[in-house]
Amino acid sequence: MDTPRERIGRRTVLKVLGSAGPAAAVAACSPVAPEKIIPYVIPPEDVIPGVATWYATVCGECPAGCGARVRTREGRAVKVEGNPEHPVNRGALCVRGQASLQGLYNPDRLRGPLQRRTANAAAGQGAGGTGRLVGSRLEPVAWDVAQQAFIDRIAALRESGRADRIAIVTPLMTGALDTLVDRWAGAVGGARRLRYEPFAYEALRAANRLTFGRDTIPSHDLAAADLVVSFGADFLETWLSTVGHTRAHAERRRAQTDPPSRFVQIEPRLSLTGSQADDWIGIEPGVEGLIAASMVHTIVAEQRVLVDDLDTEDLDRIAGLVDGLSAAEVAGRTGVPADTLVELARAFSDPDAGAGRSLALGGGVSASGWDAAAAQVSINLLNYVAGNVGRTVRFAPHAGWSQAGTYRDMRELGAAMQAGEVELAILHNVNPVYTMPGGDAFAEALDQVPFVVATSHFPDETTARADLVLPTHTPLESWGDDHIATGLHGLMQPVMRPLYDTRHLGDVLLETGRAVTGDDATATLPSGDFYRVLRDGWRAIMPAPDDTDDDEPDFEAFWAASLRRGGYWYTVEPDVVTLDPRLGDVRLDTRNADSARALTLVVYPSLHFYDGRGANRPWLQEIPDPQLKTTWSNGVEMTPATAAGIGADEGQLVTLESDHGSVDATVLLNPEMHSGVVAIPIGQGHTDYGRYASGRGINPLTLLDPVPDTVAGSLRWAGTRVDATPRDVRRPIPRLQSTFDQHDREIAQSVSLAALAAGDVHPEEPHVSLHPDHPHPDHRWGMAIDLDTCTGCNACVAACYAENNIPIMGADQMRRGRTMSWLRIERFSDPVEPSGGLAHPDTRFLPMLCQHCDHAPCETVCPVFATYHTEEGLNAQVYNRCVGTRYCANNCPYKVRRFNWFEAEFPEPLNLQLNPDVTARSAGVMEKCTFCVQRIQGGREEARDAARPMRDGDVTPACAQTCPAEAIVFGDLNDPDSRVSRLSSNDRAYHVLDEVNTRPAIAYLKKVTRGSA
Amino acid sequence: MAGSVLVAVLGGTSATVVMRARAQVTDEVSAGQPIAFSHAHHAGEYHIDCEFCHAYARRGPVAGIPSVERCAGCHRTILSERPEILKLLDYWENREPIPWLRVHDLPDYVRFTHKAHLRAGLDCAHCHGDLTGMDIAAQVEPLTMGWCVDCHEARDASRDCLVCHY
Repeated sequence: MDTPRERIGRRTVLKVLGSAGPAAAVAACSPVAPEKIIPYVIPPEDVIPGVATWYATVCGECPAGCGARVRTREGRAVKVEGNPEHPVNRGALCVRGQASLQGLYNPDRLRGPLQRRTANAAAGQGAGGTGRLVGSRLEPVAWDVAQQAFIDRIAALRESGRADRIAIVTPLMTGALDTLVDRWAGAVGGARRLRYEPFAYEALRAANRLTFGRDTIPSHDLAAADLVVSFGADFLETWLSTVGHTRAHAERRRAQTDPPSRFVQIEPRLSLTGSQADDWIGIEPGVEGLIAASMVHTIVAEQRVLVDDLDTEDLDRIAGLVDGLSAAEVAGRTGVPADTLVELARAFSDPDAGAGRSLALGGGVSASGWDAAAAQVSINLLNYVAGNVGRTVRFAPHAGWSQAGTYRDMRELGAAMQAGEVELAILHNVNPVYTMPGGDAFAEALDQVPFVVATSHFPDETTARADLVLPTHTPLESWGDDHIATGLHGLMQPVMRPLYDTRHLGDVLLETGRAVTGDDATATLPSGDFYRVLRDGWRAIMPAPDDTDDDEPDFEAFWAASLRRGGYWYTVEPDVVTLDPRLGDVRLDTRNADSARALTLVVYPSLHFYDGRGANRPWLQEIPDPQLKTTWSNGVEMTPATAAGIGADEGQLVTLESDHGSVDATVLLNPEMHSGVVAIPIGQGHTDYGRYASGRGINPLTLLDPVPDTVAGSLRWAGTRVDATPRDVRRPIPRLQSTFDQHDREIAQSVSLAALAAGDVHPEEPHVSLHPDHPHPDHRWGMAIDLDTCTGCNACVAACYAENNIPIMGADQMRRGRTMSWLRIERFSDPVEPSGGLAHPDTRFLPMLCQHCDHAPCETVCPVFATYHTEEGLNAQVYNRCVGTRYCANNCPYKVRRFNWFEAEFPEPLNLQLNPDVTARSAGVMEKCTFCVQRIQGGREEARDAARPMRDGDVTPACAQTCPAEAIVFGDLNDPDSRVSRLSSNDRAYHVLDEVNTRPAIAYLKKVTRGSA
Repeated sequence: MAGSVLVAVLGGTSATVVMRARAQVTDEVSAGQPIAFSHAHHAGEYHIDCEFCHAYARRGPVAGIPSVERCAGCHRTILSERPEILKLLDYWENREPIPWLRVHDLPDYVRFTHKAHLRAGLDCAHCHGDLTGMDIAAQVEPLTMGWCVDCHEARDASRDCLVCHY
């Protein structure tokens, strides 16, 4: 991957040509064998060759349940997009969702069943592990044999009355498959069932149980809140439902109301989410709850409680809980000035604005440490006293999250395994050996289980310890559904045939369950295959016919409509929730654990890898982290002062040691953190997760205390104390942006809301040009990108990789700066340093792509006219004409052109993802953003088919299509009414490097600064 | 100056090479088809419409080679004892596709769509020649870029590179 194949160089070819003369040239062009053209035997009904077929399904990359639509060509999925009809994500997808194709087509996927066999001496090198694993390895086996081995194990346990010694662990599932797993567990004889999510938000659920008597997670209406205060919730990155949150957040920002909306983030390390904040308070980890409690204290003391019909008893209880946690007291303990706390509390509960106009968020993974549940209770109370519960915080009657197990459940399972109480473990797409702190301990526990079955998609640290691997279909190959909350039923359908010799988990369970239970009257397995089970489940979801309608309810019509739509959903009024009478038991005065170690570790969920499951997708490794611009690895972030304090520098290895483990990590300087904090993202450091993930970076979970929190049962992610000792080794991480300083070039511009309101805007002066203007008789394609709503989430970048067949270069080439991305997110920042009080982050994310200049510097220097200006305003790049002089790239002031130094490699089956509508470029050719010209041609075709002119919205490039913030708008600049035309003449619009007078087709809209100074 | 002369010379050389190569390919294709299918019979003698078999031409970029099912649909009863038809029925019974050799092949960096050309009123024969008279299909037009552009120019169709190359 990292080293391009040895090949005959360009120079060698020239030498041969030069010496042998024209004869050699003619010989070299001898005809290739004629191509075969293979017809269908029986043509599939819904395929027209060369025309895409779309299927609606549900994204399976995290539990958020976003709707997806998958574009397939000739029976293979080539692109995943958000389902515009789905209420959760409304057409957008995040970077992980875009990369789900690389799960389907991952070259390291399990391709068929494997069974552990004793290796002979000669082939023993594949063996590993401890106990029963020594001297054995996994070898391919036929499905029937593998499944029979599974059945025999279950049957043996049942016969001896030990069926309750079976354990089955799945991720959080919420639909028909979930119900089936439960029924299977019951049918085989009371197997232990767990739904394990590394990010299960236990503290949040525990606090909701304590505060409101609801062990669940509500939805949060960011669009309706004038003031959002987030206590370390990375709600634009991984927290709960990021695509929906991003869309709502952007909507709220676009509405420039008076007074403006405001977003305050309180956290130890400036997150990507925090970068969007108007105000940021840098704190030491673990004091989030105290700050929330002090705000409640102020609101109660100043009689600003905005609850309708408030019970005085409730008020007394709340006052009692926050007693002693006044702003002054908390200021002394947290370093946040009392004035700031009071001001924030008053803004949060503003009687003039009315109840329910604010929103407090908490419980992000990186903010869950000691006493996390108590901190969440304070945040709940804050929402309660401001009248937000039922308004911006909405509890549905049912939410899928309430079914997730806790970290403590997994710990207990590990203990049971260690004690020999589990004799058969079934692990489905969970990787506890990687995601559990002290994973080695879980691995050892797993090795005590006599028989371990893995039904995962990929080989990983956990499947490596299995006795039997029964690989199952990936989500894009599966039937299924999800039910993440009342009113939300997503329906999954296979978008293509399974690539490999895999089966559906549901069918494996049905077949094995029936085989062992036979005619057992107590067995309660449904009949039919999983497809039938799913359909039968949907009969119950179908709404009852209303009384006025005499027709029988037509299930087939409902099923077909739901398949086409991608599910079935309806609006639900939020539940009315009240304070739980047991609330009085909580102690909100949280304290951090004492330790002699010098630094506090913050581990945070990765935007790209989530809990580590995304690390085997090469796009997610290759696309730089939006904040640090690191690729293919991770390191430990610390402030320059912290680094200087321990005598380390950027790129140097340091040994981090906690009471529970130690790792060697590369130092990455990051000034935007609380002093005394070091931070590491979760997701790297795999040892056995395929070619793209293994052996990269570090897994910070090995440093954490494996003992769960007593109240919530959660892992204490934040607050572990560590020491850092520099080593005399440098291991720099490839980073694709060397400075975040604009050096006064005004590339990413901003304007204050006040200046904007006062009309204090400075439109660009038109420049004189010696070149004649290009005529654009019909269309002039252009784009507008709003820097105010762009969160830098990288979804557009991944979409571009998927749509345009952009190759992966690997870590070594990235170290040389050789990325092939057509679209990159530039980050510019004036570092914000935690001062205790309100700081104003100034981070600007600027998606940079070919500007399709009217006076393009690249065009004038191309000796072969491979790049030129089209009549529709595109800067065209004709690959078959390009001879690779690279003059164009050298003359491009935006540095958006990419040269193919090497022949791109797409290891099978990743090649199946290639978009047939876009040429895969060969070595020696220049390439760059085309504004998705294939989509422009597609839109034109569609308009011609309908015999109408093209309309605004007919063409949406991949980047704009997936943007969760709708920050990218594309259209025809010749049409004065198009969205892009209106945005391009907005007061905030400007062109990057306007002074060069390239006249780009892309207008950027300045970021709006709202910070209350 | 010297540079442009060199380009011109090289350009000339490679063009002749391509032409020769194409002629050789055409012969090889005609000889190597798995079944001696005659367009003259089907399209000429029996006046079967091109789109009866090449069913996608009006709906998409690819005209489509008829499925084995479509061939067998008629030939299970029509002339089912002839040696060439027996070959076909063999493929059908084994549910195997017929490995035809491609006659009209454009380079991979060309995006051609049948739909747009049919919509513009072009006749199949315009590019594929008169197949009603051909026993074994052969390429009669050069299908070079110059040939495409000449027609686009004559019909005032777009000559933008991006119409075909992206």
